[in-house]
Amino acid sequence: MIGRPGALFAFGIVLALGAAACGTSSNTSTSGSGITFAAPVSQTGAFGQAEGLYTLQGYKFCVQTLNAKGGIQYGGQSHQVTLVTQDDQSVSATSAQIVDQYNDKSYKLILSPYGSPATTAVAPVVERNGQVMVDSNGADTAIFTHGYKNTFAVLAPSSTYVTTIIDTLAALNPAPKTVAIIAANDGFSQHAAEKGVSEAQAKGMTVVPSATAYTSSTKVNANVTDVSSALIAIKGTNPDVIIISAHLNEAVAAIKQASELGVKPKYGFAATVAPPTPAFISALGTKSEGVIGSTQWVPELSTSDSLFGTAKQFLSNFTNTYGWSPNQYPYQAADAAAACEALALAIQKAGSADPAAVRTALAGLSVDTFYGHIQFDSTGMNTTKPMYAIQIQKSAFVTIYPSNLSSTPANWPAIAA
Amino acid sequence: MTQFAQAAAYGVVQGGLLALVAVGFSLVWGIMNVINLSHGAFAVTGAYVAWLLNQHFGLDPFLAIPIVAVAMFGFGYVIQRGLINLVVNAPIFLTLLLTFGLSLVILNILQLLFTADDRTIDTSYASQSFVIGTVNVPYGRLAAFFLAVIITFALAALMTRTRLGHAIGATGMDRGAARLMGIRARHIYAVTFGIAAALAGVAGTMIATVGSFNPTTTPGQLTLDAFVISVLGGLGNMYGALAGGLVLGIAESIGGLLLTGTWVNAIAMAVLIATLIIRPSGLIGKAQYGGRVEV
Repeated sequence: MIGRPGALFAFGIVLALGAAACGTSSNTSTSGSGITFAAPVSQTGAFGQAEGLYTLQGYKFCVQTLNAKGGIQYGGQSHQVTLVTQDDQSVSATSAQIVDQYNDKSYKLILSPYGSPATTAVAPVVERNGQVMVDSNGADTAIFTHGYKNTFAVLAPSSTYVTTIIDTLAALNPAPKTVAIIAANDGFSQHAAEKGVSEAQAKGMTVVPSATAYTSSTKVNANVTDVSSALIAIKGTNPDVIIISAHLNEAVAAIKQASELGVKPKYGFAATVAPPTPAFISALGTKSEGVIGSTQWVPELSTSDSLFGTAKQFLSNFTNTYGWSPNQYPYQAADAAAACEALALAIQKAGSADPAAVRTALAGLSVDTFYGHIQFDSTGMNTTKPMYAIQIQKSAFVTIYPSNLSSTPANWPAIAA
Repeated sequence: MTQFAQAAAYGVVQGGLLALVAVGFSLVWGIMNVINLSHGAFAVTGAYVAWLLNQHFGLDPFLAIPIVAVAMFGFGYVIQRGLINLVVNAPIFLTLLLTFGLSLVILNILQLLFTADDRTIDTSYASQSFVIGTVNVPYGRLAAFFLAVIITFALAALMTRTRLGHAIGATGMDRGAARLMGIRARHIYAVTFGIAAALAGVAGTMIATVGSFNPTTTPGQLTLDAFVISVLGGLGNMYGALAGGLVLGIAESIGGLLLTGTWVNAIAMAVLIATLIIRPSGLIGKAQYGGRVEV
């Protein structure tokens, strides 16, 4: 039996809950003139210090630029964009939980977390909830083999990370005859290594200690700082180049420990994700000199768009905003800004922020941007997009591949005999 | 065979570095019965002190070690007197909670001051090595190994041959009896914690020299390593951390070669479990400290 004060109190709680619920639903991406982009991005944990930070800055820069230019235009109105982010602590399952919570808040327009494992975890959640996601930094092609209809990636797939390095090496003089590949045990790194082995063999290179070593003796745990077991397995095989298919921690450890263990490649080192990040240079200092890295974006690209302008203008404005040196720009931020831009362009094209309409618009998108051409195939991948290669020269990223974008020759062999 | 010899040599010197990380942790646990979850944060703080001295004054990390040790001793002494001492009589879970919270505070301050970027102290020699036959022995880790050995023997001498050491040992065995003998337990605890913090700082300096560090992922790994090595080596014996570190370093290195690098953590835990089944007090731990291992 509830007394009168108790009944009033209960009524008050019901009213408060109702008001709270209304408050939540009024904050959706489709109501009013505002549009919400939601992104579970790593701000702590293994990726929080570098890749997640760069991704978040790319998203923020895009939204700032969008709003400064009047927001997204459709239906004769200007729609300002709000970016909602939450730290996934570099844990894939947390990313998926956050996106589910976004759905509860009616945030339907998702920008991906950093990395393939987290994007892999988020994609089925997006599909189930009828959300739509533009993937900025999840390159593992396995994400796109499940028939998902609502996930679109602006970046080139994982299959091209090591193959681009091989193509770069093959174009250098002297071209390596033998390569060793260290690979982390995450799906992205393993897939990149697998394709890299095929490309190396196609280019006439021999992979040491064996073509399958990246699945056994030269495989290391992801995000570790000790890769000595892989280096000891390589020792004695004397490769011309050591390629590291992994993320920042493993790549830094490999180059430092190789020197300690006397594992000295004849020509130099190359790595997939790490070299084109400022954190790689700050962690390795002079040991980063000469390392080659594959990258999704370089400022020498000739394409442009109305939002960011040319690639060089994007570089200048982004690095000025966040205090980066233009010689050490994080390409992951360009990935993120391009994903955000693709989502904005799709909304504009659809004339609506309704996720189904945006999804249809994304599927038919074909535009040139500061990031290059963006067009998705039936699986959601931007397969027309090439990758590029940089080399660290005097603590600056220098584009060395393809040759038409390169103004400075590679310093090669990078290691003195 | 070459690879096996290389793995063994690397395991020994890496074991020395691991021992260096664990020796202070083991001391505090053995004497004060405090499992200091902020040990990794102390090590990283020491690494930043050494890094700053190197960046601003060009000081070689080995020359920076005395400065780091003194600074960290003072820091540890103050932290113990002002904070840890409040819960030294409390249940173990409260000390765990407090030291974990302390770790979070220290690491967040470090992140605010230095960002979360990886840092390293770049020297011309630390990543170089000398060759014996076909085996490379890295100078940096070898120096860490010798440092761990010297510190362990010095600590053992301190504990057995000085009044301060006897006071620390007595306080660790029976605080009440030690007080009756005129020992100021509060001061002794603070000195012990200060020594542990200084040793953590030295370990952090070596890690910064041979590898890299950051305030987000490095401290947790160091605390975990210190915990495993302390349990493996055993408490109550100043040589426990050295023994534990060497066994773990060699097991990880050779295990990683025979299996793959992805099995390293499993190998470490298997060695720990097997040791505890055979010797619950650790490799060379004293039996009376066994109860603390079970806490």
